[in-house]
Amino acid sequence: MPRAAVLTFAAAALLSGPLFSKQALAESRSFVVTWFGQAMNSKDGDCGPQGPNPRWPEQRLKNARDLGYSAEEVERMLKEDLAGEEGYEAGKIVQANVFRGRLNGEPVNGYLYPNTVIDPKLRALTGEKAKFQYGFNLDGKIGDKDFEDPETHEKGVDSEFTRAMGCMPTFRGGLTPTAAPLEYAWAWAWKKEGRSAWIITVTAEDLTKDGDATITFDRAVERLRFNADGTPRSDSSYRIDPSPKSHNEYKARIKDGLITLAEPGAADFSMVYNPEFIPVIRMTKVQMRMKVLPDRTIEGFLGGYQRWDDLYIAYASGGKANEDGNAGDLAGIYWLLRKYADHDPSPATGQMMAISATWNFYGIPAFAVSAEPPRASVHH
Amino acid sequence: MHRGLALIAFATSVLAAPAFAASAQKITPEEAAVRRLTGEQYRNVIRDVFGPTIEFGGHFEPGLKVGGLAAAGASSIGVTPAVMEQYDAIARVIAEQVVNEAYRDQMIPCKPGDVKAADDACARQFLSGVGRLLYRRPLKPASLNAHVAAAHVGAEATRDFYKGLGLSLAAMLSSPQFLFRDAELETDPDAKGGWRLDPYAKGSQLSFFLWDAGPDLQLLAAAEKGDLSSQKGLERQVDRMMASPRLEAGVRAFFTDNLGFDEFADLTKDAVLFPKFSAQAARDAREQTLKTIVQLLVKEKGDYRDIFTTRKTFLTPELGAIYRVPLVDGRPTGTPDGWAPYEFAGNDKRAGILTHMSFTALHSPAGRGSPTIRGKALREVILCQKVPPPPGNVPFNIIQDTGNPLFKTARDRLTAHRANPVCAGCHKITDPMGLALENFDGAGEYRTTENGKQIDTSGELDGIAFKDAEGLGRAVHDNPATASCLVSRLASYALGRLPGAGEQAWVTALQASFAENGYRVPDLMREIAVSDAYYRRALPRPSPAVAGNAPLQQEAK
Amino acid sequence: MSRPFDRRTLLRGSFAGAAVTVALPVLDGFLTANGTALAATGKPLPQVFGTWFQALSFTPGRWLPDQVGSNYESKAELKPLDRFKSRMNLFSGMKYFHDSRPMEDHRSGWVIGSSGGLPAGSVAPPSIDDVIAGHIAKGTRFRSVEVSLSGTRQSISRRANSPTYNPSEPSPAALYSRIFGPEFKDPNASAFTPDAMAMARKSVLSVVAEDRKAFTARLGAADRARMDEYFTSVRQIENQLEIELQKPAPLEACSKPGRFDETQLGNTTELVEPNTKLFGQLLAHALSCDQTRVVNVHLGIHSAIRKTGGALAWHSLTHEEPTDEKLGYQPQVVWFINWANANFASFLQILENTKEGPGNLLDRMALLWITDHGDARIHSVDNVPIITVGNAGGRLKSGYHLSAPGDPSTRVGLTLQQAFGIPVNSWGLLSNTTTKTFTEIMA
Repeated sequence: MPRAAVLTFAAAALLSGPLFSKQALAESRSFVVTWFGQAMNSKDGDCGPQGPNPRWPEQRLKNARDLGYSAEEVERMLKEDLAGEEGYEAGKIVQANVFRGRLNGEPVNGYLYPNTVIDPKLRALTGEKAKFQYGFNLDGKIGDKDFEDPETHEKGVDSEFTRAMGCMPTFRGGLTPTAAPLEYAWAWAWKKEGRSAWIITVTAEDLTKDGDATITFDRAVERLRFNADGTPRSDSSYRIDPSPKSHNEYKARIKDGLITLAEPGAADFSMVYNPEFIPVIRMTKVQMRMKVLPDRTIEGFLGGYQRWDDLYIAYASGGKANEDGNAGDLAGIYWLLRKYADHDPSPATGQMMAISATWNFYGIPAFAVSAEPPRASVHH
Repeated sequence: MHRGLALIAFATSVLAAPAFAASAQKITPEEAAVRRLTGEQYRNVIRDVFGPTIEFGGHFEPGLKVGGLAAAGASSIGVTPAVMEQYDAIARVIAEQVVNEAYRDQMIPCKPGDVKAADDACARQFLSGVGRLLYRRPLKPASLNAHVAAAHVGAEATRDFYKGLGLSLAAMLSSPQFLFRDAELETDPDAKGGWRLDPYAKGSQLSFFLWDAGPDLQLLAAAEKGDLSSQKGLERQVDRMMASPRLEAGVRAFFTDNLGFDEFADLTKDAVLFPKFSAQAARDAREQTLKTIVQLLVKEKGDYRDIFTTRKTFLTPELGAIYRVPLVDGRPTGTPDGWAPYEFAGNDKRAGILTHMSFTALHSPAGRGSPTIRGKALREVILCQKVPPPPGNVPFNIIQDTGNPLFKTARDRLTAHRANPVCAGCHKITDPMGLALENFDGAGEYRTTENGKQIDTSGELDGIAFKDAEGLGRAVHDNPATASCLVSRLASYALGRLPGAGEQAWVTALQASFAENGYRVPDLMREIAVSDAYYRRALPRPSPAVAGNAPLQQEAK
Repeated sequence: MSRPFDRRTLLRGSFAGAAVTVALPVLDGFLTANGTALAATGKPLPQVFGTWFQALSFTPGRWLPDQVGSNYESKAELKPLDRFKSRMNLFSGMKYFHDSRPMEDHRSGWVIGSSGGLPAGSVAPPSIDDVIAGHIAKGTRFRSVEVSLSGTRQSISRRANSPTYNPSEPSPAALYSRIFGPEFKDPNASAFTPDAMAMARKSVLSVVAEDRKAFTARLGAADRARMDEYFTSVRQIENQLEIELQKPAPLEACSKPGRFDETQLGNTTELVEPNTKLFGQLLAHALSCDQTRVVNVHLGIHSAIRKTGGALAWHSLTHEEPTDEKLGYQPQVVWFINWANANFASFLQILENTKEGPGNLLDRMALLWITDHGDARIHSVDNVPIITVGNAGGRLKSGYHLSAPGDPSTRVGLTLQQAFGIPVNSWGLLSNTTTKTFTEIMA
């Protein structure tokens, strides 16, 4: 290494607390996010007596019937597809499903024009056992159909995104990365090394005592670092991307080890996520809760009203490949999201443009370092 | 046993008052011996002659260690058939690049009359030039003629001048004259009936010692003119070489060998217990310590003993996670890690190279830390005191059972183990120092507890008590054996073998002047390099031809 | 020496009181696993190399043995290969690094697995079979032979900087005509021309011999013994050259197979099985007649393999089939994995049945099995399984499970290149670069 290069390296200046709180807050700890996904709590019976929506091969047959093919025709097409040279996947049933939109009577790509697809009326979390879902009471009301949080037992939980996706087979699951829905497990395993890390910093007088705190969510310049075995690496340092596009700062409170927002529902959330998956997570009226665990890691939940078109585009951008692989009936998902959207009506049509959503996250200790221009060596 | 050793080390460093300069010691020299090039020396010579981008296309076998140093094995190691195969393959890979159409015009100073035929004049011009650098002395006429003839037959057999020249060059690169540093002697005018290395062998010894590379053109010219035969001329060359940035490579080569860093190549850790340990972390750990040493000893011309207490070092982001310090290198994301200087805070337990991962992780088994192994390494590598191996029939199950609820910390386990009197003797030598490093786990990461129990890092070294790793560093810094050990290690490294009994006075004088001069390693290297004793040799006794593979020399005691 | 025994130390002998690597002279290296010389006289039969590509990996938790080393117990999905355990090495823990490059599902994995990195700009690295072919396949009729078992032309074999992959031959009958058609000449009947470079090397060594001896003019006893060792080693190089210049031993196992008729090609398991056996026989004949020294077998692209009448191909099942809660895995996916491994075993059986002298084709072959993912369900590229089969002419030990968590997969490729005598000490691109081999299995 040439000597000159050594001298131009950045000195590691620890980011000392959030930007607005100039008062001396003694303790500041940062974490790098090692999992971010939709918070699911799937239970048998939560989709009603018929169970979750059919898996995708079966759903395709139903969609073909919806397009006007008779039951006999569908059966014949399937038989021919299975016996054909290239097999079922290049056959007529699949083709009919890909081009199931109808624009002026002509078939069009259903991923691009989901609104021209006949609503397959997929099931959502409306069953008896669907009562307990993670989240927050975002609208301050306790509605009949609202959920109850299985941990906090808060009532009136708004989490219609969970309701909408909860009966899609590949979106069912639990919280931890290993129990998580396939869609998110796939996106994580496959894309985890390609995106910038997210950093959460908590600052308070004493993180072990009740009192005021601040929380920041930032995007790092660096990608998440990993250990040799593929697990995320703790105690690594990350520079904070100064772009305001991914900077979120909240006043918070610590009570009995639980960190929550001081003014729930008062602020927005915006983070650039992964251009190859969900490009940006945008929410309004945000609420959050988070715990620092004895092993120095964190776990928490983030709720708010999320733009649902961002979500549809994320799932649908993979087209047939993603439909086959992870998501399931994409046009069906479009109609589910549209139906259960519960916030921000469009002035023109009255259609709700946002949906109440809950995400869960985990993090491990990290160092947040300001992305100042490089300074001279700390030696001299 | 250890006590005696320590006492001897103490005695040699204190009692030998600096009555004479090391260069003027009366010594009885050892018999001259040839030295095999180390892998790194081989590479350095080739890069100097043919350019830094040359590819080697193969690996060198690890050297034979004598007294803990591969350099000191260089006078004993031979060339086994497997090693010869490697040398042969590497030589051909290098030669092919030199005569390759893309580079030949830069590498070869002349062009043949006919590319498809032999051209002895051009071959001679090239081979005499590179031969002088590769053999580190001008080729004797018979030798040059042989290689020109080789290029000739090679060109004829392949109908290609360059292929023939490449084959001759490859033969040169696998010849003993290249692979072994010769020990040609001349009579020593200062010692009646005595012998010393001839000027070229002297130049070679000098440059491999100071630069870990072959002599450059200036040094060869000085040898040719006879400058190296006078003390003044020798000093002029030594001072020129000491002032060169290449000295850093020489210091690195010594400490790499001295600290056993070749063992990083085989270092593995249990990935479940030590997930942060990675191939990059191991590579970086080695480099961290070398950078720290070079900065302190060469760039700042500091006191050798301070490497055991300094808080200044260099880190990569990979190491930053293991040392749990905030550190980014400012490089674009996705590029390999770079280095940044770092200074541990005053209240940090990290001080000195013994707290570096390169010591704590290197001297630990794959699944745990080991105060005993660390203590033994400290005794042997840093203090030059031999720790006897454990007797064959000792049970180690208590020590290895890190999950035993009765013995939560290494101290507990070792205490139980020491109940066996057979073990107690040796463990007394190693454990009290090793336990001071227990804040660093088997992969070098900081911890304060083991199995939930607070770790006690107090210990003792030769009567000096301390409470933690920092105290151990200070005790090592102040221990007289530390400096005298470095001197005898460096002398062995420079000689390519352990110093003989008749050379001990020279080593003792070096130890004294090292202390006098403030423990400056470059000054010590200079003193060695300008000593008469360093170049004096006994004439090898002619021996009857030995049939077959004779055993190599035994490791010196 | 300051360290206790480790794996590496066990591979070393004690020499003059210190550890030093004990390496076998090369002739001893050309022994079969049984310790018998392969060719009684003259030049040993050449090393041969192969690749086997099988997409979609195994099921996490159902293949990684609990033990490392030579006495590991196979988990369920590797049981079909137990018959070849002593001839196999299983590698685990390694990964494909994509260095922030956009990932192409499935493809990125096998490109890194076969070529040691993703192509960057105009630099497209050759696949490992091509690297090895460049070293061992001089003068054979076919530099390499690529076949696909499922009726397509896909392959993972690529020449350096070539924009395309060498297409696979999907038809056994067509491959038969290509190799054993009218152009086929009995290799035992052809004249032998010694290599000009080897002859030149031999001459050069004899010309410089005297000069080398001059170095020993004035040496002590110990140095003289060291020089004797040096000259013994040089003599061995000369012996190797001598052997290279000899007419090779006749290819006793070479015979022209009987005609192959057209078979039905396709991607269903029912069609892949018989075609695998036909290709196995053809390739075994081609290798034993030295028509090629490198073969590449492609089971099929990730989305291809299915059962006749099965709605979903293996690939779709990896994503769509729910994990059976009782079993803890995806039963239909596991059916395909077991099927594919049994099919691979049937191919290996044919190679092992090809007798050559006292041994068989696997003695001088190394076959590299690679896949695209560590976990196909979620497309992870961590902990990818890798397998080698065969002993590469005595250069590769077998029967081990070797674990190297977090290391790039290229360690296996580098080890193989060195086992084939290629003078390289580094392989791969960017984070996939390695300089570490598996010394444990290098003979």
